[in-house]
Amino acid sequence: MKQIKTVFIFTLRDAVKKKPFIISSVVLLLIVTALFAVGAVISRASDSGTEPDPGASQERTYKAYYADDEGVIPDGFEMLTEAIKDTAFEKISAGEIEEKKSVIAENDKVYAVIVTQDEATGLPNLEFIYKSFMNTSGQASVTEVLSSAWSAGILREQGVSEETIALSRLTIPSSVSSAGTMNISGYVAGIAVLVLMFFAIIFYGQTVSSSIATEKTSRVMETLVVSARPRYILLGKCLAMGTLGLAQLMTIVVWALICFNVFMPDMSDSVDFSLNGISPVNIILVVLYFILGFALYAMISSVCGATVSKIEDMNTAMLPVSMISIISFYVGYFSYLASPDGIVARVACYIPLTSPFIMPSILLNSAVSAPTVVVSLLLLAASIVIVTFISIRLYEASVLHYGSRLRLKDMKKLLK
Amino acid sequence: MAFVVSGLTKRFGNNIAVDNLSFSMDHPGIFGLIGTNGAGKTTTIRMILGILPSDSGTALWNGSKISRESLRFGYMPEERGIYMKNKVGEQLVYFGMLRGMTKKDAEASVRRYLDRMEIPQYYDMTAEKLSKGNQQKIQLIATLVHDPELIFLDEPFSGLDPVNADMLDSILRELVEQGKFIVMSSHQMETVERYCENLVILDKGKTLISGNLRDIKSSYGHTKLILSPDERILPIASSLGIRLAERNANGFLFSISCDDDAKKLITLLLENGVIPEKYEIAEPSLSEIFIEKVGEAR
Repeated sequence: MKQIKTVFIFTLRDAVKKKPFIISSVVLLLIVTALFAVGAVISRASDSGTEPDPGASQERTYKAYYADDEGVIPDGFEMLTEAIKDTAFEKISAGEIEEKKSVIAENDKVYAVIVTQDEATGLPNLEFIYKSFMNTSGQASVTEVLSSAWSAGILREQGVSEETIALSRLTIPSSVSSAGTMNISGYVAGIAVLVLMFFAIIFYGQTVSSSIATEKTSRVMETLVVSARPRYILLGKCLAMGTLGLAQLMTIVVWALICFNVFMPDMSDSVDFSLNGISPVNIILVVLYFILGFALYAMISSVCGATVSKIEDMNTAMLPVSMISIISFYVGYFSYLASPDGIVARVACYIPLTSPFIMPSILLNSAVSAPTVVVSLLLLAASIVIVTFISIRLYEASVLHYGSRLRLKDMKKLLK
Repeated sequence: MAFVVSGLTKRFGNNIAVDNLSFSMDHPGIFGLIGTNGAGKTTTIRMILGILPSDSGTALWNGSKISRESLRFGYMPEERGIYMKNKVGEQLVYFGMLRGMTKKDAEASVRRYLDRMEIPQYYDMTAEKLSKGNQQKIQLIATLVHDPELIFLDEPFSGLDPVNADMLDSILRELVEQGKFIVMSSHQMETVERYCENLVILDKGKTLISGNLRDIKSSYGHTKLILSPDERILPIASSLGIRLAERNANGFLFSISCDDDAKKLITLLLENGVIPEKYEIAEPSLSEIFIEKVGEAR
């Protein structure tokens, strides 16, 4: 136990001081910061570039030509000017439209609205002219205001009081909620956690194998194995890298939450982050799945590191583990994406290779029963025990093997 | 105290890496483990240290099986292995702690050895910045930091300049004086001859010779006659059928089968008025015994 602790402390301190860790941490935090900053900029740009807020008091950044030669919508022009504050409306005749088209073609913040009347039905018809079909800012709000003006005109003709007309134009506030356990924020957060788990587990698993391969190829292993049992070295190393990975992961998540609140304060107030699954127990379970998932993949990866004699062979040795992890990730990812309650997702919850990827996402949405979690964790823990036992034996037998890379059949012999 | 290896055997498939090897040390000193490349020296050391299971045989220290837990042992492998990117002091303390020392004791021991090796300034320097010779000293400290009782040194002198070789020489003598049991593996026969009282010569896993070096050499008798380089000696030696094995600036080296050959030659030389300035009868060197034995085995 003392030797595991010694290896753990040395490996952890060594890894924290290493340039790759410092650089990767700084880069990841910068990426997170940049993502939120860019997201905030885009969000603000799109807010100002999409639907003009009819009631907002702001500068008139848009210009719209309004043509209603026959006066189909009484008070239409006045209501538009009153309701849509960011647009300067100019009344023109339909005959001037052709001339104004050249101005519209030059500026995507200028458009025209032509009101005509359907001869057959007598109903009004709106035609919008924009520079490009890609940007039709204002169409919805202008249509809404003019529709309202048209309805008000009819009601007024029918002798309805202005109070009733005002009530009829009321926009009823609305919101969307889910009857089930899923909501959009939980769904997105689930995907984010799934992807994050994959990269963290694979990255730190590979760090373990790389560390072992480096010690072996540099021959430090010869000094180490006479000092401590190989199994203690392996366990200490895996524990250290797992702790480091968890700490880095937590730092990134906390930093992302800080960035979210700093760069998107409006959104953090308005977005419904009612993740049904966020409870202390489920957070502990998510962390537990990370630890167990990391342990499983780190143990498999460690054998790959121990089988090579040259660091250049690492990628080839890691290929089977990479394949297994990528397939497991995609099974988890697509089954969650398709339907977190679907049969594939349910089965993936029990398979030790896929459960660390999919279970945290499902847990965040509470779409899983307690027995499922217990069975899933037990299966994962049991597989770790078996894989650890095999890995330790292979590791002990192969760390002092030099020469050609050990292949599967060689490892089978070592296990006998 | 006693270190006894008995009937140690290891097979890799059909290949016998070490075949029924036995030797012992009953008092502190340096034991020579000699062999060609692939003779089984490293496999032997790994089996003794318990990091490689043996097919049969035992390695006992005071009657108990050797293990990391039962005995403080040190091993300096032939292929040097230290963390190049880590600070010297930091990694040596780590190795000491892995061997059961407290951090404080390990630090004190590391500083003591760095002082002894005259490199205390390297404590906070990364190993990659050191010369090969100094890296070798760091490796030696990693072997000795925890004050082991049984020490295995694989080619300890390779890569050392004469000054550092002299320092290692004095350290080895100090270790023996402190009562350490040292097993030295080397290709440099002069080194083994200088330090080892007892030795074993391995070839392809088989023991060719085992025992006391003095006794082994004595058993061969005097096989060399060294005379001063006087050209008049050559025809006289030739007339007696004594073969010139080697000639250099220091003299002529003749192969003799017994002391009688030497007596006959000196008598004849004197009769012919040739008085050699140098006359020495010698036993074969370890290198010659080694080459002869390996040649016979093949």
